[in-house]
Amino acid sequence: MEDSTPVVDVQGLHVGYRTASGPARALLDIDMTIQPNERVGLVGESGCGKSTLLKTIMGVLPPNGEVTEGRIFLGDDDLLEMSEEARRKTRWAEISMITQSALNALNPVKRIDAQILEAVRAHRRVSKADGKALVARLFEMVGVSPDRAHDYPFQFSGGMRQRAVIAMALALSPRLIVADEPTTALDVIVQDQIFTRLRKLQDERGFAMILVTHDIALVVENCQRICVMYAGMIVETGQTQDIVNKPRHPYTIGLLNAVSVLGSTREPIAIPGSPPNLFEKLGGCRFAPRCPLATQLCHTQVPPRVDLENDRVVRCHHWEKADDFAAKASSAETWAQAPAAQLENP
Amino acid sequence: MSSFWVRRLWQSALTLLIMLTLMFFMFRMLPGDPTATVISPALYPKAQETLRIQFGLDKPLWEQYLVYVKNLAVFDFGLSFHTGRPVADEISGRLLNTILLVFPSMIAAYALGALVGAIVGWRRGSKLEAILVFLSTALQSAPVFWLSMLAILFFSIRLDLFPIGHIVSPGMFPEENWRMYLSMDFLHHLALPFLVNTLYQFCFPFLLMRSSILATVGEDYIELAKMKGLTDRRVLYHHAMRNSLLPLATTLPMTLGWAVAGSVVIETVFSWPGLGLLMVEAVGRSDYPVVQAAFLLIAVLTVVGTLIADLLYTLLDPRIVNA
Repeated sequence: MEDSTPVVDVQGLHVGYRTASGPARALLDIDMTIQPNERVGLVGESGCGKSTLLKTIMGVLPPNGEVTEGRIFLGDDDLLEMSEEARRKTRWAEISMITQSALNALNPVKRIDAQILEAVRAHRRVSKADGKALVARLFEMVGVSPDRAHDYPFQFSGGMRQRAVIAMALALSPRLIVADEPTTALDVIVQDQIFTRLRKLQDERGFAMILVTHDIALVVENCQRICVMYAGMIVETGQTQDIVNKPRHPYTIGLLNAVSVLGSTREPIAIPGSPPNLFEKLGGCRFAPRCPLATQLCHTQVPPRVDLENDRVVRCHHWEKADDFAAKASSAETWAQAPAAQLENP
Repeated sequence: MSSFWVRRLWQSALTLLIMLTLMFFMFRMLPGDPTATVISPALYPKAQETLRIQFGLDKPLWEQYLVYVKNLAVFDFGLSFHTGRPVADEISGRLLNTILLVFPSMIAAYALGALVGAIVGWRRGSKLEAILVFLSTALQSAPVFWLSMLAILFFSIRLDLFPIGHIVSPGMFPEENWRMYLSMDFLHHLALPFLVNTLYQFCFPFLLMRSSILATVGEDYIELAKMKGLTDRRVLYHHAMRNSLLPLATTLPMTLGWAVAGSVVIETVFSWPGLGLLMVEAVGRSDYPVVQAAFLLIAVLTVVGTLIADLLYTLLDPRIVNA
């Protein structure tokens, strides 16, 4: 996998928002590589910058959002250097998206087939008959009867709408599909059906996928690689098995700890404190206030990127102590030593 | 026709009945004796009495009301107290003049307002936006008679571009007929009241469309439309505007009756011989049959406009199904 060209390669990306209360630094030095046919999971709490990263990749940052540094390569081309028209042409044809809430993502007053064909027609000419056949094929792929293609979104159930959005994402056979919390609004049975379908489609059609979610269990089940985000930074990435078995960043350890495991008597433990305010200037590790391992160094210096074996990257001054820490992390007292916890219960 | 529309039509009919009942009694509660204008006090009492019987004014009020409703049912609006001619003849020519002035300017105002509002809302934060929002808020709060007088003062008197009033130049068309409406002279007279009315009516759809677009911009389906690689224009016209048009398309027919009623002011200032001016004259003369018919017409326009708005809604928004 290492010698193949990545589908998308994000390098040193910094993104900020200009707001009434000053600039907010939403993304800091993001590196992310997606290989063909790979499923990468992007996990993190709400507000950690997952959506901003996706919007930057899709080129739909709101007007007050701004890329201050970095590149996003699609094959050999830098998306951020392209003209607006060239960029428009890459949208959906190269990178498409399965949106967070399929309920609001479809225009309520337009028929579903028209909304799918509109995306296709923005990129190439399609005759009426070919368009109809294409929509029928896509609907069959996602497991919805093609007779329903001419319906309006409100005539669909939540699961069907999600499938319609997946059908739309597949319409132009893109190289990368970004799935932003694709099943959050659905029950677990439909969720499982949709992921099974997505994995099967991926095997058949060979696109790469980024799965964004705050549900780490979903990622462990579905993705080969994981990127863990915290407060605008990717704090750890690596193969799923490596991350789950040997997490190197205290935040990853905390996240894994916060998930309840079926059949285990272990109580999930929440990480004390809350994510930092993004308006503050970066003076050290953003996780330090919530980290039991934090030392003076953590509060004053941004941890450097450490490359480990097997494509593993971690951003922590004390990653070598991770094994030791992981052993103690399942006890609540360990977390009580974090500065944030000390503030809460002195 | 579904039961919804049957119910809707019954409701409209009932609304109209209530309207005309209220109007009938309200005008009779106004001070002023119609017999004084209809029947000259100089006549012999005997002759006065005969006339009173002829117009049915000697009967008790409830009986007058029943006759009125019965006549309305066969579209007999009675005779004008002032001219003695049938009210229908009296009103129809005047109504046409009002429609020629009001409807085109309403449609122009709404079309322009929707387009400009959409573009300005889409490019949020431009200088043009700030200026237009300020101007239209100011314009909307200004009295329309004042705007009309300013327009006359500037364009007619100062620049001498347009006539100061009337529908055609006096003496041009001694017999009013359809030829009049095809003349350049008519258009020349129409221009200024049309412009003032359009400008005034522009503000509401402009502000509504702008705020409606602003509310739409953050919707997920707009973001998805952008991500689909649609051109910026297509996202604006086919998604943002298409959805924001809903409130506007339905207010337009609903305001038609209101616009005709509002023509009273503009027609008075421009001496435009339309329904509005007729109403002002008729009220002054206590010419009940004419006033009642004119007000009824406005009520009918409003009720029919509301019906059209309902119908438009079902056509424009598939989510609304009147089963």
